[in-house]
Amino acid sequence: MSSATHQIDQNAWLRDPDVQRMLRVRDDDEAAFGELVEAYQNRLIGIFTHVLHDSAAAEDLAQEAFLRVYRARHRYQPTAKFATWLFRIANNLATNRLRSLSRRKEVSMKAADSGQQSLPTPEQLAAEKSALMPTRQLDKQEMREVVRQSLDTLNDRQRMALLLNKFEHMSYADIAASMDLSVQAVKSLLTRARENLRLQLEPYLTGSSDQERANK
Amino acid sequence: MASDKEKEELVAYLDGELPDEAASRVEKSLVDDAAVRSDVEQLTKTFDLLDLLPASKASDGFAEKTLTAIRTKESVPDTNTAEKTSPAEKSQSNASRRVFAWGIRAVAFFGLLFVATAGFNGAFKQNSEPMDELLTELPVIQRLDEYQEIGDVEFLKSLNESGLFDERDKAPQD
Repeated sequence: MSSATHQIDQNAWLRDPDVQRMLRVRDDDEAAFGELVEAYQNRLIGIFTHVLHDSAAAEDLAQEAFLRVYRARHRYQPTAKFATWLFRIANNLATNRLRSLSRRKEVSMKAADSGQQSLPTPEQLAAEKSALMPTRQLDKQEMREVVRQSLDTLNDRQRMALLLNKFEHMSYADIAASMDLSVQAVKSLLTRARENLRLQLEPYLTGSSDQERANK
Repeated sequence: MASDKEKEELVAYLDGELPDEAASRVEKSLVDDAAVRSDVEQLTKTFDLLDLLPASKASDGFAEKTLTAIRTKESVPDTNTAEKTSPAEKSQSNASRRVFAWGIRAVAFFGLLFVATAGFNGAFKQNSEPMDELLTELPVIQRLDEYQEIGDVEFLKSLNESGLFDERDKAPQD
């Protein structure tokens, strides 16, 4: 990339008002930092809640993310949109937390017994799934639970990419920067995520369409 | 069933991430192929179902709690105080703080020196008192056996009165 193009790109980031706020934070403007916290608190907590299913843990993690932003303020260089940088920090935190939760779960499962009984067999999984089959029209609350469970069937990276795509309306390039992946990897990740989601939710589509029509 | 590559193109098309040429290709297949249209419809509807997920919100006072926690962890000065302090005042305040810190260090050093000196003197004095006493009494100690044979002072007085010591004093002159 030529230096002129690089200069244009950097100026593009500088037009992001949150990059401007972060530059003020870099100069120890605490009020600007407060504005960033206000602007991003719900968005961060929303993503963390979908990942962790625990609103208190989501708030703790969001606070940790803001603390990291503050600690890194003097080294901050605007090389991307502020949201991309923030969600990169968020993604690292969520990944570490999920890894630690999974290790803890492994230990507690080993401690509980031989571990074989607590893992559901494919037959049990099939039975659980059949319990959710749309033999009747589900109400909104039940449908919400089905969607939540479907999201949980995705692996951590698919889920994070999908959440950033859906709720943060991020481009593939921004998701790639936030998750430290190539754009092609994000494309594949999102395709698998959408395909898995479709397989999980397809049986409910007719019901939800009827319900939507009824609501209208 | 579409291939993996075709699925990727469909999803990227729905996300508006396909270049014009590839997008035109997908649009043509949408017109020509009912299966592709069905795939796109299902992908769109299942994606839209994610809107049912509840939107999480920060609890009341989250921002304030976060700022307080960061202030505590990072010892950040309060915004109001920081705004009222000019750079010159800040520099002066830093200089005063440095002088005060050095003052505290100097007081601590001399205090420590005084305590060490006093402690040494005290210990030396305590140890030297019995030694002085022994040195003063040394002549007595050296002839203690003889004094003990004499018995008491009254006996020595009576010998002196008898003139015994006078004769011994004169003897060398003879």
